[in-house]
Amino acid sequence: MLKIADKTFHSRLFSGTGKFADPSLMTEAILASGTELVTMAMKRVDLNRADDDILRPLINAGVNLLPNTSGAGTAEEAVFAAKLAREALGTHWIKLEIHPDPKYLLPDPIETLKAAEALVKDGFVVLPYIHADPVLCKRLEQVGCQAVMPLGAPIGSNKGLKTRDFLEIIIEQANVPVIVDAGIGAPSHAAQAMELGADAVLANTAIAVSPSPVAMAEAFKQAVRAGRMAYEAGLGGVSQAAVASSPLTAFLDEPVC
Amino acid sequence: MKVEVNGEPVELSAQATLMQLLDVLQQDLSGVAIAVNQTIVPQHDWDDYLLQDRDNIAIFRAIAGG
Repeated sequence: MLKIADKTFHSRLFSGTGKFADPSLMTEAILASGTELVTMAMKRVDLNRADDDILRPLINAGVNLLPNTSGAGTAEEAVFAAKLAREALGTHWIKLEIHPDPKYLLPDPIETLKAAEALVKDGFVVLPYIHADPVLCKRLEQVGCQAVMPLGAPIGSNKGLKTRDFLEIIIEQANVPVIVDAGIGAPSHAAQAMELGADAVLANTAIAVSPSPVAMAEAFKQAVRAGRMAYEAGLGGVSQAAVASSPLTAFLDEPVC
Repeated sequence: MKVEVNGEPVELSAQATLMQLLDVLQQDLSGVAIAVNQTIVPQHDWDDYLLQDRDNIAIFRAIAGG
């Protein structure tokens, strides 16, 4: 079972709540995914427009909430967003994400480390979204982050594990859970991350924008389970040359009578 | 008195509390956090928090996100 801070999770699939066509489809997909932790964002309210009520269905679904600091461009803004989220949702868990660049949404490592340190000191359980940088992961671990969330590819790009080699180094070195976040566009990507030994994956876009989000959520659930099972069972070695699976007897070379 | 809420001017009777402002605005209060002049006001203080003329109020809500 996966343990992060004081919580244990049966499911190693975490899910986002963004980009679903409507709240009921989101709820159905989340239930089908079996996830026990879902992300949310904080937004300044538009007084003239009501937002979809997604909080109630999520609470009814019994999932844990992981608010993020999306929209923050600096450590200071992220700390403020985290404190707002703690007030709004009554949780001290925070997915720390600081991406000042709107095109690639790549996380700012310096601001992230600064904010992580401040938030840990303030009692938050901090899960930082970061590039697949093994050195940064160690630094975040040292300041007290309870997990790290390296990316596979840019958010919403569905490109898969473009950072694979570095994810492997992170997984090898980490003393906190590694959650592969962003870029996971297909169940096979999720399975791959789990086979590498990731502790969990977070998927959002791939499920939410599928024409059948509920079926896709179920597919992700199975892929994450299969990948984890394969990791625990232990994968065979890779070699350039063939290694025979059948006994190499001589009779195939002999003339047919 | 006049306050600003998420960039919009709102006219209030004198001596309004934060909770009274929220009643006027008819906002759903689940998943909401509020800052007055960039300082977060905890939910349990909303009833007693007296607003001042020209206060800048920011209302945030938890929404869908990844």
